[in-house]
Amino acid sequence: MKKAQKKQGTPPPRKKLRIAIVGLTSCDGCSVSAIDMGAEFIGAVDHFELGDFFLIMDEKNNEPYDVTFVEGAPLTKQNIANLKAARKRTKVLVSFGACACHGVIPNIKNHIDKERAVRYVYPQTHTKVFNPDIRPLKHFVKVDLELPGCPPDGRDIIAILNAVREGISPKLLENPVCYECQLNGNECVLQKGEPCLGPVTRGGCDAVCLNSKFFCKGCRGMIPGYSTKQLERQILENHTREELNSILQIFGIQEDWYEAQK
Amino acid sequence: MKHKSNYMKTVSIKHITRIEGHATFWGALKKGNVGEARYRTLEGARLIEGVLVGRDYMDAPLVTSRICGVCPIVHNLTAIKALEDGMEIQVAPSTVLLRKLMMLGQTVTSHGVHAYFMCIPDFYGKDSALDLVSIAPKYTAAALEIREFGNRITHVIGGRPLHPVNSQVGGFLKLPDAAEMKKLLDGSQAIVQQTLELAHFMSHLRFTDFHRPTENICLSSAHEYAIYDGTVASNKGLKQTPAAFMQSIRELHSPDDYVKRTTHKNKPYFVGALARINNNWQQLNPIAKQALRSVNVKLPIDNSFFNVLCQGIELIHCIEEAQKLLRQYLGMKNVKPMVRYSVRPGKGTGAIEAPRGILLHYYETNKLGKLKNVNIITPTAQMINNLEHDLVQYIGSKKSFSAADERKLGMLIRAYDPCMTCATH
Repeated sequence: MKKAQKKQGTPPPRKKLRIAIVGLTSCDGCSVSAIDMGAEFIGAVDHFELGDFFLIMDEKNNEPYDVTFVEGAPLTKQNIANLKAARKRTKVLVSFGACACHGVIPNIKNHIDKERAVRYVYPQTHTKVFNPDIRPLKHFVKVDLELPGCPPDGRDIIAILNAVREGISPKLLENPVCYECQLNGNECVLQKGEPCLGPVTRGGCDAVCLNSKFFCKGCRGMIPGYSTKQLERQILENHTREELNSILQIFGIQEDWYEAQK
Repeated sequence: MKHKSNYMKTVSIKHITRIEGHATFWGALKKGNVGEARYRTLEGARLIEGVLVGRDYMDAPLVTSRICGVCPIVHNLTAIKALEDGMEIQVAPSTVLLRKLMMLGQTVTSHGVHAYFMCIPDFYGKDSALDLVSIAPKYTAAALEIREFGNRITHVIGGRPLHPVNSQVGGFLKLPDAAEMKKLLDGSQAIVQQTLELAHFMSHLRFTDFHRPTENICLSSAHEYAIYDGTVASNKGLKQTPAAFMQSIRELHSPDDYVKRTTHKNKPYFVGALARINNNWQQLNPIAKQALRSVNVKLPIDNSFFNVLCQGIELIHCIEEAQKLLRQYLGMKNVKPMVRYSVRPGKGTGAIEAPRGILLHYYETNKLGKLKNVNIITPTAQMINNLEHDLVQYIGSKKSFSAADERKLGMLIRAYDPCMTCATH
């Protein structure tokens, strides 16, 4: 659309950032968390040009985007191709949500016999099923920012867009979930012996699980630079190594956990 | 894609948008006005059942809620119900009531996004839900408020709008805040009004004339419009427990599709809002029933396009029902969040009416509570066969494909509210 020429003296209208939200294989919950912002989301995208958001619109064009949020993990060859195409046509690529950042549920098979898993689900057709190890987006393409969480907080999307618009490089909070949990006055479940990952997990979720007394399973990933050694010792007092690994596998943070002990 | 000489016309939608997840469609018109249709998922195989085997039973509600971001609550609760069935756990009436409320919230948010934001743009020849902001500002605001109300219910009870954390086997980790429940009740009357206006608006849309009678399968209960509980029933005389029904449907394994579609007695069947309205409309709450009567359709409805309007009617029903249950809950005394139970080996089935139709979970646990066998049959896996039959008939009735016909095909697919992430778990 062509805008009418502005009068002299007023600054020219700022070009709207073009954004896209695309999905690979996932539950689409990250995209839903954007929609769940309701009027706030609609109000916010008015300041941008939403060119592609599969959940609520047909794709408008293939023009380059300023920011692309990619939800999900690549589980098909087409997913991988779509991810690479998204990278080519965007300036900033955001890994949108825990699947994109860590692989989440599908990544559990990396740690078990994935052939057995595929035979279990597709006993007659398993040889036709593409069954790769699950890797986060950064394994396939350059990722500019990871927006973690299962699901992520919709407001973070707006925060990222605003930062890009202002030319600031967006940053995530670097306080642990534990900190937010204490601010909320919750009783500590770790001290009661539950294997809570709150002390090393990146906050920004308002300790939403712990507000319901549900121990943190680390969906937002670990804060870089934090050691997991001490927490591990504490958890292993009441739980086996196998139990701990089983928790770490749910949101795909097992590798990062052991990496953080080196 | 096949190109054979007996195809007179072909039509394809490479990536169907405005549905949950990703799918592709290819259709053809053959000589003698015979249609052909192929509707396929574009989702990868996440092997949810496969990765659950060997894990602790407590992981099932958490992991399966991640099957779908539009309907996480129904997966969470169906898993819980199935595990409780297997371990013979009786939960408190207050727990059942709170779960029913969560399901109402779930249905409202899901229908809100589907029936309004995904489907309505088509009726105006538009491709984006954002166009609705200027086309129908009043109803867009209403749809947003209705969804927000559904999300608040699931937040207050389940701990957050998506992927609930508070609901567990045996009950809840924490009871919902009574003041918040009161606030929900206080705000509900305004939302009933909004749903009524929205349904009225939807009833004036021009739905495509199309008819193909089929079997409508859903949960039914003697006590209420069944969502959380009931026996499996149909308009063709089916009446079975969920466990028996799960045994009686056939999952088809196809080498070119990750979705294991189902048939019942070798026939396709419809699941979802239209099936529920057809089978159980007498049990709708008064305002919803009145709204249904005022719509110019003959029951039973055999036009799949009307599934969208049925969701609109259900929106009213759900808010009315939520009002009733909130009132009931606030009058309850000595409510306990959780019952004590012991882990034991067992086989259990759970069934709940998801927004898009009956969802079935099955779990077998050992004495340590480890999952030995898991099976999940989603509504979309059950409806795809019926959808393809509709598409075949619709295509067969055409002489060629205009742009308007192509849009109609998209609308027919969309009307089913298919959820490809559920189907391809």
